[in-house]
Amino acid sequence: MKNACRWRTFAVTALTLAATAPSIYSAPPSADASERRDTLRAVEVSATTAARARAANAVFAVTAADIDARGITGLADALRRLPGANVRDYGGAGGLTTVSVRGLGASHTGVTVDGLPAGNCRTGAVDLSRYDLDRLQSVTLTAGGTSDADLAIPASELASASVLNLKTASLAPSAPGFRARAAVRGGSFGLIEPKISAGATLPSGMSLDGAASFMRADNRYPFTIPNGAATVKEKRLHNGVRGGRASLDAQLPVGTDGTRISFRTSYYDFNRQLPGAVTLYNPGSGEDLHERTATATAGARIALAPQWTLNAAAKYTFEQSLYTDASPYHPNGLLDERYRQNEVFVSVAAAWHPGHKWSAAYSADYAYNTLSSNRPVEQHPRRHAILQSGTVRFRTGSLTATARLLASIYRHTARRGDALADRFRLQPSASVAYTLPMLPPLTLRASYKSLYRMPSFAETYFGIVSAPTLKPERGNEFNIGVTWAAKRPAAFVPQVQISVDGYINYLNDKIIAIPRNMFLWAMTNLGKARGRGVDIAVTADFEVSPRHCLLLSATYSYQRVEPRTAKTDPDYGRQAAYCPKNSGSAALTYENPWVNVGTHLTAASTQYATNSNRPESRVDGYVDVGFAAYRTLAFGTTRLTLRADLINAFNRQYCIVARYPMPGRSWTISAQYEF
Amino acid sequence: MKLKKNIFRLLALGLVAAGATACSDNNEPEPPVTEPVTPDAIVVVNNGVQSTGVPGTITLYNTATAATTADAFREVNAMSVGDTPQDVVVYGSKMYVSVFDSNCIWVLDAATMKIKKNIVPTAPAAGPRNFAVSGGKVYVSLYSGHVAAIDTTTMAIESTFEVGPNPEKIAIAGNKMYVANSDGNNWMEGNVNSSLSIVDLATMKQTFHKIGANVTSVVTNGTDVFALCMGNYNDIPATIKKVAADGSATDFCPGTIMTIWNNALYVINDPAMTPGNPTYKVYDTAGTAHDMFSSATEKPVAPCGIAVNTFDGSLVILSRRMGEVYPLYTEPGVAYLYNADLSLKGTFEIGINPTAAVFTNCSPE
Repeated sequence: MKNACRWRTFAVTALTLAATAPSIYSAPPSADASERRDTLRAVEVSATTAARARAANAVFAVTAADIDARGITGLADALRRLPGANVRDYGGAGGLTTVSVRGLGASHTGVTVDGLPAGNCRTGAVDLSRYDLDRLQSVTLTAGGTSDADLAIPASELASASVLNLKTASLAPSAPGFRARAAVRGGSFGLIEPKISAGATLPSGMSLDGAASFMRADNRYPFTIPNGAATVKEKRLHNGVRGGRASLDAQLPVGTDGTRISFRTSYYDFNRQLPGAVTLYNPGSGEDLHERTATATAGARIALAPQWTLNAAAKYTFEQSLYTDASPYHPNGLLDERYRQNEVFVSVAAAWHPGHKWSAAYSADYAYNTLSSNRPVEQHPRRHAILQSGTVRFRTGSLTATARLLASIYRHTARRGDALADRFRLQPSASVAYTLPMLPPLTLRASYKSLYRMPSFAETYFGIVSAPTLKPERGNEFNIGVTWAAKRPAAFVPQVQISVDGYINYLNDKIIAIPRNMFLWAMTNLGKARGRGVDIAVTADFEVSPRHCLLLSATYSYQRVEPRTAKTDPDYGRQAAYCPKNSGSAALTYENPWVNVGTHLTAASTQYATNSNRPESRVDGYVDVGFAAYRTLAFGTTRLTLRADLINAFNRQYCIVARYPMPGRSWTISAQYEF
Repeated sequence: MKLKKNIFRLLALGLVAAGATACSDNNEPEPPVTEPVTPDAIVVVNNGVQSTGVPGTITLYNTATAATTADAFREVNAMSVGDTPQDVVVYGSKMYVSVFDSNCIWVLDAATMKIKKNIVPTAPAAGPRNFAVSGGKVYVSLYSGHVAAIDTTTMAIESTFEVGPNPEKIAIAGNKMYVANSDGNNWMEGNVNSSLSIVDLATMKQTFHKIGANVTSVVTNGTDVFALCMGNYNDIPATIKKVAADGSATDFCPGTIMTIWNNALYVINDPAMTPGNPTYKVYDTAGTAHDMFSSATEKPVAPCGIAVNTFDGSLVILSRRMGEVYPLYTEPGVAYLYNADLSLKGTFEIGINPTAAVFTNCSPE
């Protein structure tokens, strides 16, 4: 820890690199954050500035290095630090987590893992709790468009309004050798999470990486809930989680021309007790969810010629979801629903760089999704999707302009009953960024994207009446932004970066649920919505002395999302459900030779559980403040990192989802030994 | 005070719950009433929306002053009635409110709405739905497939017995209790176990009768019995059937909401697939029908409950507000109050997802 501030500048570097190159089919072994802290200092600021100058979309990221420096306690917490992202967090470690970006709904957020889509045809929204933040190199949100840094990406990445890219980390060193890590985290409410991982690079250049982790928590935390004039103290019951993850990666160079192939397998198996929304006077719940996911991926990055990049990938995913509800209301006292999903995904993408300025790319994806269950009304739907995209990019030192066209063909079948109608759609998108020739550089950007979302299987087939005539949601999004990135604007300020983005989006044929009675719903296209907002992100480092540094990061989002179905509807022009108008985060860390300490907060203004914005459905705003302290001790090639967190330090009682109280004050401690 | 006490005793005989909860008070043990008194209030139960954290409410409407208290239960007791209150009945000097998701039954002072007791069914019985009263007891259907008998003196569940799956409304005529077993949670199997069960309260012998799809309501005037088969909210329409003494049933008329008073069966038909165009009819028990309202009368567009003032035949219909295409399940509803001649007397705002109402005497301080 000779120069604390340099650690931070790498964090910014990694952030930018991750933000601008989120897609790689076959990533070369990427060392984890602690190793990179030692090896990449030399490239730090120049890479930051150059990459930022080219960003033509609103891109926000959290990197492995940020986990410590910003006091991030988990993936849900990391997502809450991304401007424009509304995280559905139901409370408690390991709980279900989905992300809606800019008020469009979680189904409009595409999730990719190392550039390959991680879809969920059943619900349309990916549960992000299945990913372990410690195994991620970066979490990058590209809002209102598609990153233009890497053109040879799957066409599927263009299909969503926003893309959340999770880039996995590897422990394999960059040179032949072996590294291993053992870690354990424990904390309040029965949290225990041991992890082991190891990586090796062989003299042949082949690298291997494996990891396994287990987690359990009872999440029986106290909470308060208003009841009339009183506030009632209760304890969250039936809220435990228990499960594990495992993964095995292999990266193999082929020849000496840079061609690499990769294989990855992962398995996820979690049991969750679902406490449900807090019910007055009746704390019981009998709902449980057991999910298993197995994924096998093969990818290749093929060097055909200096001007060509060719990526190919194939993926198979099996998901099993077992939902039970032990309740006397169900026949025989138990609702037992077992879902199985299969996905086969194949993608080929080629990029051509004939000169310094022009590039072109073509991508073609094929995805086949199936869903089966034991529901008596199960229709066993199938979906074939062929997505093709064409991209042209013009880039000079100061200007980047990109145009894309996505052609989507969807074909649906069902073993029983009517299937969703087949669809064809062209979606154009374009972005431009211009960096003003001034110091520090100021980059202006603008982008447009056509929005299109197929109905999920649940929306189509799970209502009391199946809805094969359901149409896709469609719309448009426009974004303008500016980034100012300064290297050493003052002697004691290594870097400052500020980005501001404004957007407006329109959504038509919004899919909404119409009650048949209080308990049974049918889906239809009725809604229209408009969203407007501003996302701001700031990072700044202050070098108090060569070994003492203050690291500041902050985000702010303003969202105005309005249902606009019909002027005669009472909710017309009100704020959409679960979209706080104001939200943000801030973190300040003091890095020093002894123990690094930091404080951080996330905050949101009042939101509503329904579009009606009635006082009864109000979800109060909150400010959640935490503290973190961490220290890494190095003994030769071995490292011991100790960290302690105080979460929700002021014990603020709040909900992100109505009647799902978040934990009050809690703590975690972790130790990580690496050699 | 004595007069006031007598007022509540009157309620024991005449003013009963609404919506489709009917009762027969032949064995009512309360002391005789000396003079009839017109009810001065309407109590409306509103479900709220439990899934979005909106608790239910009890709206109190003063018929003399037209003043409305949006959540009288909370005003009086400084606490919420709970999640998804479902039904209300006044019997003797007490008011009973069933609260489905909160799994409890409030026993209130009928005059003041002050809490007297909270009753929680004993597992596995759970999920209070709808009331009927008879012989000094308040019966409540429980969604777990039970009916519980509440002793009105001890305010405790005296006995619980099994009926069909997911019972909804119940009605009593003489010694016979009729239970609408909806099998509603088994909709994916077409509510195959739905039935109307008839319980002999003297012998507790029970018979089950398959009279149609998704039986959700039953009413009686003490002689005639009508049951409502809600269908599947899709291609099987809701139908009201007339039930014979042996439990057999014959089609009577289409309808989704009903209540009965003397020989008048009030029927609203508002099919789920075509909301916003309900029809309102009054049938005599022989089947002769006429429109409930004249064409000029303002009618609710998204009805969800009905109650008759058994004192004078005036009527209240509970309605959601209507959106562009569908009823609004997250907005406060509207109650339409009609005179005995079914001319509109006025409207007043009620809570979110109203479900049941009762005419009574209630004047909280």
